[in-house]
Amino acid sequence: MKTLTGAQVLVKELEQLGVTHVFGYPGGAAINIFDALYDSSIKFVLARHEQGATHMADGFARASGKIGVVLVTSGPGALNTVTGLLTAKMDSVPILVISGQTNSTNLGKDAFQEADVFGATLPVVKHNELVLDVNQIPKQLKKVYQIATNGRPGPVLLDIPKDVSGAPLNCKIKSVSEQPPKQINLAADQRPNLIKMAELINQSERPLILVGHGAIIAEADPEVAQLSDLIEAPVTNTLLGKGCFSEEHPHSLGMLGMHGTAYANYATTRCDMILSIGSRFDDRINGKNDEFCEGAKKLHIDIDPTEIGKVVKPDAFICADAKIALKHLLPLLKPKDGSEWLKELFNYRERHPLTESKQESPNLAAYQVIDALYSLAPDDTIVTTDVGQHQMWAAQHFLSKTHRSWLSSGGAGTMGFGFPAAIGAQLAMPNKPVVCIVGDGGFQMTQCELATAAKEKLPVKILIIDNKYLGMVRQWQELFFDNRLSGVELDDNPDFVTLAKAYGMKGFFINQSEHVHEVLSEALAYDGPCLIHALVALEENVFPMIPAGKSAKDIVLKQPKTQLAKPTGST
Amino acid sequence: MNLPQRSPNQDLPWLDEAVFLNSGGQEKQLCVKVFRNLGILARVALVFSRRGFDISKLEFNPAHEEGLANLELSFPANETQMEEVIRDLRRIVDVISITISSDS
Repeated sequence: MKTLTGAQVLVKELEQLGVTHVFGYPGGAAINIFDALYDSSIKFVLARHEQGATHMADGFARASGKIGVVLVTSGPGALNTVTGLLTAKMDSVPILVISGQTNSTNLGKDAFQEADVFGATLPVVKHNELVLDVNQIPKQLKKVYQIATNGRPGPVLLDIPKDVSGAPLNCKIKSVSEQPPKQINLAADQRPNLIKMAELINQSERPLILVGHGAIIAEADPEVAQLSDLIEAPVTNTLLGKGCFSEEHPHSLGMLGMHGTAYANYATTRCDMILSIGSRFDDRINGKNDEFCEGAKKLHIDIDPTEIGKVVKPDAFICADAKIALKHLLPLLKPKDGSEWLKELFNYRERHPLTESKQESPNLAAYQVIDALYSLAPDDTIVTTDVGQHQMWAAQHFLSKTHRSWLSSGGAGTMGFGFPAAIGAQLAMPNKPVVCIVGDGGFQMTQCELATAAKEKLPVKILIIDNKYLGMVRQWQELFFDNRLSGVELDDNPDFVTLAKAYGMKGFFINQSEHVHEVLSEALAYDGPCLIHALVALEENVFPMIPAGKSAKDIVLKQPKTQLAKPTGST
Repeated sequence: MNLPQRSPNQDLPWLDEAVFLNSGGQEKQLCVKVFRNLGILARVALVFSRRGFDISKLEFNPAHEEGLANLELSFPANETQMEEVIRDLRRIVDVISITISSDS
């Protein structure tokens, strides 16, 4: 038997787990693992910053459903992944960060590029491990892999000192990795909950279905569609639930919550039952907890037992994978006639469409660009976004039709996520068009990854919605703080088209509505990465808006004439 | 080796005054059975520090079963805070079971 190093065994085990891509950045403490990668079939993608590498792995995982893997060095290299780990944790994305560490004999001695990576990442991972014995590498890798991908997915980290990865290891690589069989049955103890939930659904007259990221992770889209069809119920989605149920379906109300549609939020004030499938009743959705869906029965399906009852006390719940839960629930349900309820919502929608807040203006509006992109982009387009106003306009106007086609940082709200996530998504799905919609602020946080996209010749289309402001904060300052603009001006933005050229990329510019279709068509047809710089109206606001901490009844549908009270919610 | 006995805050004595955490409520007790894996104590302690909760007493004893340990925790908390602590403890992969001690 040939003796391998710990690093070589690690890489072979990754291959066995089906890993095809590793994103990262090298360094001394990880050099053994990089050496082992030299002989591997795994493709290494060199990012320009470890945060970018982590978001790439995240985008790869969200687009494919597979684990995203990151390899970085010790100290600053590993700590630069912290934001990416938090992003993945908040949105339940399976990523594995492998970090090189200083020699184990140096731990705790402030050695060069030493950081307590295990300690520093504790609060932002689902689980992490420090490897102190080379013989434990295969076991610990499999452990963290299983933890990342099973139940509610999440990020994990494996910290490997350089002497451990370089030590010899006699280990037989098993040809087939042992995977626990995927559970298809509902746990017996959930049976009474199932029956209670079915009863409450059968009794309801105005049911509302809310789908979240959990429904997408479970690939429950056919079951959600069957459910909506059977009980003729409207479906609304969270930001991350976009695409589970086609937003083009007549039963779809689009996104719910702070910047959700007027009609989805209205539905929460009128429904007599809300069924959340894989959503955790985040504060963006609920606003004011005790007034959320007041008087309605609240039903909750979630795979994570610690989410049940965390924010909303449910009248019935099923703690299980969303697909399995719905498969068992559907046969217990009676068909309903929802025509009156759907008509009420349709009428409300006619009165308060998404375009209600839009005013005639000579300037190019951001939503016009996104509307045009939506009409031109092929059906299988994957959209990634950054965080801020453009994200909300994109969520409202770029309707999602299939699951894993909308990748956005929800829980963490991480600026700088969108562009590297698009790179990861494109590598996971080389045959699908990938467009990232980003703001001028967030894009500049990870714009160094232009080099990565150019080097990998990835045909990612970058649409920058540039309003020369950190727009969402400016909107808050305008509406709630007497327009005292503080720290939000970005009037010194670079010329993004020239920036693209500097990386050998094609750049386009639009600032007039009559050119939008023509330029976007050309950009979408362009073979290779390209950037579209859309200079839009500077001071446009996102509506509808429910001020933080308020309930759906307090929704602001268009630009208010007077100053609003400062919101009580934190963000 | 004789190390100099000196408080790190000797020149700034007021820094030695503890900032008391306020979590209100009555003293509660939990017994948490855990795998004795690396960092388990830090993982449990973070559940409290994240929320600004205090721990008044902590005992860490090996359990009868090999590789396991029992953590006895006392802390002031009201019912909601207690629920939150239990919820977060359940999220730790190395936590096996949580029991509320009867005298709390």
